[in-house]
Amino acid sequence: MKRAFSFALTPSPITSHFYLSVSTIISFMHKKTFEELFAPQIKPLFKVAYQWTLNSQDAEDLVQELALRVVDRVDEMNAIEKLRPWLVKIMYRLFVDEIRKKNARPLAYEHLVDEEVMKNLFVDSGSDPEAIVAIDQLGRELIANLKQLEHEQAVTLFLFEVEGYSLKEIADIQSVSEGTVKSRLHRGRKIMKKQLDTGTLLSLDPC
Amino acid sequence: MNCTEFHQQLEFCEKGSVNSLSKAQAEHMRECELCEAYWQKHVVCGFLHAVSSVDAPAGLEARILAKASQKVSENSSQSRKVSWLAGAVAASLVLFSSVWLIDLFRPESPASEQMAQVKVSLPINQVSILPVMIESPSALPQVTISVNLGPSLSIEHYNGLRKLSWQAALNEGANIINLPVLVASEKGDKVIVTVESGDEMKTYEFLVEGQKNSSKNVNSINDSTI
Repeated sequence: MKRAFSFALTPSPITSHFYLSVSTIISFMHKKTFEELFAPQIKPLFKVAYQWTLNSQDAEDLVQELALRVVDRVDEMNAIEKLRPWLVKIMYRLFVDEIRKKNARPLAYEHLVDEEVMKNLFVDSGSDPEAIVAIDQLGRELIANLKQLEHEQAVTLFLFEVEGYSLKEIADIQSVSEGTVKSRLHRGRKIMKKQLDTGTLLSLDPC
Repeated sequence: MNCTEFHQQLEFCEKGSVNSLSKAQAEHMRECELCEAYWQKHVVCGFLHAVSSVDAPAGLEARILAKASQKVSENSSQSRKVSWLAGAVAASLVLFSSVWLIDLFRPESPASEQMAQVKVSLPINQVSILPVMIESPSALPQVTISVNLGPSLSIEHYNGLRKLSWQAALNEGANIINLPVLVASEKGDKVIVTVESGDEMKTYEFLVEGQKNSSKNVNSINDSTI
């Protein structure tokens, strides 16, 4: 957890009475400011927002909207033990509201940029042309599968598999029962595994 | 290859890397549905991680915090109240000013930057919180931070104290120092912030000027981003 420097200061020879200064600063800044609370969350929240929107600008807009929503809730933020799930929950509501405004289906995932995703996909496949083709094919199948997900399924998959949230936490974020989360996970995984077989992979190099 | 060997070999390989699959593994999967299902889960999970591996755009934190603080400043101007640090300090003391971003020790970043063109306005004879955000590309366990204020500026409560130096640990990413600053005159003065880590040192200068009308304390925060 990031804190203001004033919590970790040691006196310096330059100002022998600075220790007193620090003490007062500590009491002065007893509660964390919005910047102290929110700044460490921005990059992790951006990553989550990107998973939902698959677009850097949309992801930034979503985090920005979240910041504007919570900037006047500093007291509440100071009192919250686990800040990130609380922020993710609010951001999810904003995301759903945005989707409803656009009335788009299958929502954000239709905007997926194949090339951008493919750049991040998998490690170097070596110089074996068959291996490159096989990996490329597999990647495109996965992207096609991802596009078929409902946004609730995609959000659930990312929160569970990538971000490591528990079923209970995801249920709270999405305001649904744990049973619904399990169902979304199951269906999401099933869609993602479609067309995944080993037939094209036999020529790949060993690791 | 048996199932145990299959799992062990997969675990040794990077998550989601398709080319980590050996021929022996692929042949085993043809015969074993359980291992094929396990591999599918491994690949899907790796794919989701790969999709997520995007770098945050440059200046993201500064932009987001700047807009948020701008909203607070606007609300403060409208309501004539300073409430967003309520409870922490007396309301009369604080008027949020600006966010300063210092990119620390990046290769392209010069050792010293004078930012005479960068100004922040604070109300005269009133304590304001001046947040200085230091963006560090990596965690630095021991740095020395020095803050020097010109004669027209001082740290609240310390009888004209204008020179501070202390050791601190920097986290990777955003680190924020909140300085309770008092401006004595309209002309204002310079603030010099120096950060030292081992043999490296960076110095930044910017100007804090006094403002008579505290309700108009809205700064061009984007311009103050380094």
